[in-house]
Amino acid sequence: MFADAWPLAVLAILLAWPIPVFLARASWPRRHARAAIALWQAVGIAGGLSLIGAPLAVGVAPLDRHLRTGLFVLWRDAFHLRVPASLGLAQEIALALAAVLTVRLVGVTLLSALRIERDLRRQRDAVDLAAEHADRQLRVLEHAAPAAYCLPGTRPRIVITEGTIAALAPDELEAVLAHERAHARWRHELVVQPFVAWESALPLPPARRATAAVTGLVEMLADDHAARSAGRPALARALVAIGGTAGPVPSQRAGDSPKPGATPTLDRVQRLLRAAAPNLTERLIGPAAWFAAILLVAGPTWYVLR
Amino acid sequence: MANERAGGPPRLGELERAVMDVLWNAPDGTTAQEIVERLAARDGTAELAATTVLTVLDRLRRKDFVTRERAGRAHRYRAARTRDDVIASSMLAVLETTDDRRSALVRFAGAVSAEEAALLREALAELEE
Ligand SMILES: [Zn+2]
Repeated sequence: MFADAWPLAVLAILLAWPIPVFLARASWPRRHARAAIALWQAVGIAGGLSLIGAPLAVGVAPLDRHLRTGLFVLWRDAFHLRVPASLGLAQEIALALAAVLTVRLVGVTLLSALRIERDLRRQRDAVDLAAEHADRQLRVLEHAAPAAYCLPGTRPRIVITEGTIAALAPDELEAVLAHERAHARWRHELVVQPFVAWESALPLPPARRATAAVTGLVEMLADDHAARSAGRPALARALVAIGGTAGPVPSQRAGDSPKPGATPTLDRVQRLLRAAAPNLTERLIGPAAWFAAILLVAGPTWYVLR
Repeated sequence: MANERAGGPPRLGELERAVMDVLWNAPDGTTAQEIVERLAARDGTAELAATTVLTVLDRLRRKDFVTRERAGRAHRYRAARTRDDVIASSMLAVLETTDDRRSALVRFAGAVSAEEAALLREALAELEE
């Protein structure tokens, strides 16, 4: 009797638990960062849509076997300010759940985007006024602690400190700048920020896993750019020089199990060291992940619209 | 003032920096007219229109970089925070985010524990063999 609800519910559960766990544990994403990001994005989109679609399908099931037609009937009646007579309490609860989820996902995403934009604007003002302008993009802060970061946006700023310049050899500095320029140029914040927003909307383990994974993957993409322009050894030395200095260690969040033997910085250095020539299976993983990503979004969309 | 577009009028961003430089060097505050004079003396250029400087000061006030108080018929402008304070709070926002991914800023490499630093150096030695 629930018609379209079952497949959507099964998909929602798969995307909420086993698939993120599997993806987070796999090692191939480190070698196919871009394909892995696409797959995580597909998991996020399909997960969100099926999470909303399943209760919606339960709610409109008495109206029609198909979610699409059922929604149309519901919409037509709502337009005439009527509630379809065949809807019972269970259906009304399911529809309310779908509505709450939708409002929460959209609302929190918008709020998060606004908050991030406001923080960034403040940071941009501060470095534009108080830092030395090395060029149109690069700002140098008079501070002894080594740090380098990117303030993303349509006019991005790359910020380094005097301490960074002092701590690095020229090729290492070039590696750091190439890494940050890659973040700025490829707008990596547009990849990461939706995941941060979804995680605040639904602070559950799968969302946390996805955010952590995607954050790590864009670092790897930027590392790949830096390794190409400054060389792997220079980048590895820069990571050790900047990451290896004493400083406040980001505290592990309660309940987060650390990845076996690796903080992101250590993980990135080890990744640079273990770049093996890919074999055939390894070469097929990338296209397979892209295919899975497309299927994950296109499949349920087709199913609902059929 | 260093003009990035040779020949053209100084851009608003450059003016804001120049005005902040004057204010950071005048801890007791200063008036808009004094800023006009100091900028002209510093760069050896013609004086800017007072309204231009007032516009810049207004923008800086909206960004919370400048405060003002009445002093007779004019206003006295002051930097809201020292340059070092501005730099320190920028760094704080970046360095002391306990959870990097919460923030819009992701720094190049997070700090690691002593144990991990040792592992990092070991990994590096491996690379250079
Ligand atoms: Zn990075």
